Amino acid sequence: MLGTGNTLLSALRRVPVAQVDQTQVDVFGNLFTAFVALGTLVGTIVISYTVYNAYKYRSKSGDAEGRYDIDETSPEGDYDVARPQRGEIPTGQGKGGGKKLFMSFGLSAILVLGLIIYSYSLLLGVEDTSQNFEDALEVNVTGYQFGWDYEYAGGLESGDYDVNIDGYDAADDALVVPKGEVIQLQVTSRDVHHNYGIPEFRAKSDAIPGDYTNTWFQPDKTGVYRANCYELCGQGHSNMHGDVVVVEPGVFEEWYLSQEGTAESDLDFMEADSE
Amino acid sequence: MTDNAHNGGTESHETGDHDDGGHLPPKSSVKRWLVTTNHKDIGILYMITALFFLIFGGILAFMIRMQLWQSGPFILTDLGYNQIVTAHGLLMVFWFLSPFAFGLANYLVPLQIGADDLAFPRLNAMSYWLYLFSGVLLGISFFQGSSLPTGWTLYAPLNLPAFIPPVAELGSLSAIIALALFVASVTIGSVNFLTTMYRMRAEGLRMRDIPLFSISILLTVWMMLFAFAALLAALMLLSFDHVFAGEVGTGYFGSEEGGSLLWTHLFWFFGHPEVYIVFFPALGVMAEVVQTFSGRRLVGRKWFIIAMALVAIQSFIVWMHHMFLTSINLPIKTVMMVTTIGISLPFDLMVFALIYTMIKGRVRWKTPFLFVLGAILLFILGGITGVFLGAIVLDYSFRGTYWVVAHFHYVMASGAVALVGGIYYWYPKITGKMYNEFLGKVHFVAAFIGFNMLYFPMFIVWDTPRRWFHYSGTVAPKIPFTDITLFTTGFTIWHQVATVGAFLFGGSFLIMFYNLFVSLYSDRVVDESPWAYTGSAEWAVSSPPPEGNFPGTPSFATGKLSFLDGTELTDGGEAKTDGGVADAVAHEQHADHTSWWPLVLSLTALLTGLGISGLETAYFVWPFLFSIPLFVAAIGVVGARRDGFTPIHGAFMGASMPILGAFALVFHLHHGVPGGLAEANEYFWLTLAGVGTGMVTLVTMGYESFEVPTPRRSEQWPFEGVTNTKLGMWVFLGSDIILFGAFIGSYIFMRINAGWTNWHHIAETNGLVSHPILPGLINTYLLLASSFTVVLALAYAKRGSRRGTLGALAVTFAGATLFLLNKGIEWVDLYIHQGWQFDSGPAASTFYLTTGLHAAHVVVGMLIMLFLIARAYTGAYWSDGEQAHTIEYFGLYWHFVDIVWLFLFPLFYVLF
Amino acid sequence: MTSIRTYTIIFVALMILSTTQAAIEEIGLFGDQVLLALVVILGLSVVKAVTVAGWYMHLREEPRAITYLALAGVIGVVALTAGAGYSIL
Repeated sequence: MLGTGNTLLSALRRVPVAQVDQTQVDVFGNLFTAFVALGTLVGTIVISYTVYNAYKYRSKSGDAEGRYDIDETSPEGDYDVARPQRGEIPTGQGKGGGKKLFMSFGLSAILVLGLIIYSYSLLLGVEDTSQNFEDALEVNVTGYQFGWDYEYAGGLESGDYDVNIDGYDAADDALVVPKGEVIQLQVTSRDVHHNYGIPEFRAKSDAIPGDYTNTWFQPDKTGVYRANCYELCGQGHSNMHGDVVVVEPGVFEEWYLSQEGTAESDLDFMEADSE
Repeated sequence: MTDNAHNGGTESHETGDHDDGGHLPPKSSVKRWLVTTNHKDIGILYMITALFFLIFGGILAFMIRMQLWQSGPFILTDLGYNQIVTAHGLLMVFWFLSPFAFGLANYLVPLQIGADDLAFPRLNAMSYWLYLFSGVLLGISFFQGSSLPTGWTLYAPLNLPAFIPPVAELGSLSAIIALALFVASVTIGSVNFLTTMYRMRAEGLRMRDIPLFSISILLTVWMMLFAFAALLAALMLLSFDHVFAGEVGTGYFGSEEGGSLLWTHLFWFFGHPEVYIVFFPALGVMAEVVQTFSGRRLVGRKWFIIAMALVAIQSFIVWMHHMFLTSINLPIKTVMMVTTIGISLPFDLMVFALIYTMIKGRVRWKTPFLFVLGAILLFILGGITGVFLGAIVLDYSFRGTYWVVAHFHYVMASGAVALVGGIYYWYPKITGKMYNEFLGKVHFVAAFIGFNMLYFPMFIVWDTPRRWFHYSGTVAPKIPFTDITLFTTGFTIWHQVATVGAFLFGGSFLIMFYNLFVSLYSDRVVDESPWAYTGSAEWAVSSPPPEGNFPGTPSFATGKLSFLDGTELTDGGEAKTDGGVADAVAHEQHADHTSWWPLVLSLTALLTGLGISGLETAYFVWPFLFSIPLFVAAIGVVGARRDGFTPIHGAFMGASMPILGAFALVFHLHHGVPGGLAEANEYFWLTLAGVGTGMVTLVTMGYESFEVPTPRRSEQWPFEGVTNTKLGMWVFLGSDIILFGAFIGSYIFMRINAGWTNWHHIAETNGLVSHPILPGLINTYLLLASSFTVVLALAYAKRGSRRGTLGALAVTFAGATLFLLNKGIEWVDLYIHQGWQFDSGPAASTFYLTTGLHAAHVVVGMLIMLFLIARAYTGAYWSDGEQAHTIEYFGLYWHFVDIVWLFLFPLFYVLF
Repeated sequence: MTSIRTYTIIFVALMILSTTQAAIEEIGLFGDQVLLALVVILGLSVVKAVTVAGWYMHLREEPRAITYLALAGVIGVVALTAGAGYSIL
């Protein structure tokens, strides 16, 4: 059910409409785990197999007399394989090897195809939420050398508010968001190419001057987190980060409405919470 | 141009011609190494120079790792760190890895295919010297204030003057130009290697029979030919932005019409094939070493080659996986995800082929094999982590983090490890001595441990943003789905492990340098093949090989290697030689081996490049204009010495003065002659010196007699019946197609971004009043006519008609002159009267730059034509048997220039 | 070996085709159909280019591999332009 933010699972479990069933953290965690598991398995098998064979088929003869390598005369019981000869034109291996090669290739193809399909299905869900989820808090992010400016859907800008919330120690230009809601970000830059990323919530998007990109996240815990810059943008790049403050929905409402120029209708997206 | 072969010797040789162009001075003399054009010498020069750049880039790596010892600044400032990170990337990718591989390729490819040198020896030398001097220019950039601080990826608009600190502006432009010089070196090299491998193989050696290292080089140069042209386009456009635009909103990459995204498209279209360009030679080394040290022919050889070719082609359609987080649309992202994850499949096949070759082998764990085996294991790990990056949703988190850094170091540095295996493998062949095996093994152990200590922790702390050194406060690494952190000190301990690993890995190379140096003086002499189970031809000749490579003409006609006029290769034995150093193949003509001009020309390129970095906009065109009369005079003077003084030489010498006077007059009108020159900065004079001497050198090199006899018997499929030079010209045109294509593509991209039909409106907002089609149509007529006359010139030359040839060439030249005059009138109107200038918006920039690049090609054509006219006058093109080849080659270039215009006319005039 | 007469005929044909391109636009033959005009006019350029390449550059007489080499470059350009252009649509 693309476009509503509902997945089959959410319909089955009847979670609130304003939330997605799988946050970016979940999606990443699932996919990453799958890849790591598969990758470690494949990597371990292949590497062990390689080292094992390189060892097993070690030549038992030492270097030939007065030379730096073994003698080319085949020892007793040598395998029936094509051994290189100087000045030959390699016309093929003869027997052996080809079938194994096709099998391993076929196996990798199946694995790879599976990974593509799995990744693609998750991608569709992520992109759908980014573009089409209706009950989200929309925030515009503008990167600059060397920080982030925010503008909420109702027009509240990070130059115009301050972040004085009890128990949260954050800079005045922080992004304040309610827990458990989908936050859709439209990201751009007013100077060079940056990249906005909140690693704790797996939100990330390039900030391109003159262009707009989109990402989203759903924070599931309160606290103060960081939004880092992930694209080299000048001398201040290494220290370019901002704060992201996640508060309970009630606290968020209170804070938001206490700022100048905000209206209750701005928070309609939160009404969709059923419970 | 006399590098091509002539049947029956048509070039008139003066006595004394061979004092320079003849035999090589001894290896102990410095001069030898400056004038050599022999591929083995050039291979050694490349390898040693590349190792110097490895040390340079490696020291920068040490500085990065020291800075990362703790979070926050340590030994470097912000600007310092950014420069070091940039230079480290540039040096390793461009100035170390590929050139080292090409050092091996230079040395080995002719030996492996049975040729006695590359197709164009002087150009080969020029490739090397351009490479060296481009690296020197990069080094100089640090001393012009600061060097480039943008990262090796040079993202826009950070790469523009608007965002580069003023102290780094000169150095940044120098670095960009250094890259452009490097591209020139590589393009010349591609032309050379392609022509050689297709046309100079020994008899009986089909393309599929070529040894695997040479095949990997073949595919590498194919990729290089096309990829580097795209980079050159990007660098030229960027240089334009630096000199003529560069403020926010102007030029190409500062433009609001997708300038930033345009850079990423151009750069990564080059950048992705580039990483395979860097890796493929390592793959070739792996195949050779695994085969030799397993004592078994490579399993699935045919499929291995097909897989490599597939990767080479596919590498050009994955580039947007570097752009998954930009504003590109979902369908194209999906396509790129499939092609990217899919490209792992042919690599899988190749890795498995290598592994299966060891089965039932007689494996010896000697140093080359250890390094290659280690490289394979590291590459497996790196490759698997690359598949992660192809899954878009994962890349959404990995973008700009150390996961990427760890991945690419595993794959690229494993390539370096394989190349080290290649050093040990071929060291006995090149030097005739065996290295110390124990030290080799020690190097391997230290390197392998150090490598993993350095790069594996980067996966653990992968959430560190790239190019950051303030990494505390980032997320502490945790076991997924838990809150268990791996260390309470966060990332620091892992970065420290990596730093220690860096010193261990880098330091291990000292063992190798010591080993290889000391072994030169050891008594461990080797014969043709110290290794057992070698197969390819380089192991059938002495170590080191004789100057002419083989003791007779190599031939595979009997199904295995034999040397005609004398020796037969018996089964399993060694090539019987005459003993001692065998002489080169007897040629009817004497082959030339030395020339000063590649070195000198490359030096002038360095001067010019350095000069351009500080050239002021108002003075930009003048050094180039003033060197034109110098070129004309040089043809007269050098031509008179070479061909004997004739009226044409007098005419050229005489004509140069009024031309100089005309340019001086225009200069005076703009700047004033004494005053303007006094105000010109030192970079103006540097550029003038560089371009001026460059022009004279070009003429001298063109007139130099340099014989390269074609092999009497060689395999030439699929280019039978094409001379080497003609094939070389076509290969060059292949890359020029990409160069122009990238310019045109950039225009199309920006125009789509702006809305195709909005373009004229945008131009008008920026000052354009009227842009009539007529000047473009007239120019089309002129160029078509000149194409017609140049093909007439060829027809007349073939008939031996001097008058006809000269007349047709002169009319062609006149047509080109009228073309430029017409364009000049048009541009004066647009630029001065309407005020529509180079950086007046994207419509202006694309118009001036694209048609300007074309005009520059026309100017180059005209200069060549002057040379041809002088030579045609003295009858150079129709002596007995001469087929007017040179005019044909020029015609190919000229028709290409015409064809490009046939597309510029509709795009920039009719459909504007 | 192509005759001078053939070269001349080709030259005249090329001139006519070029004039046609300009004429199409000047008289507005396709009106508002920008895409159609683009395709036709650029198509004529392709015809001209192939003619110059085939006859003046003698591609017709060269081994086919040379044509493939040039085509590879053209395909590369098309891939880059089409890919980049499509990505922002």
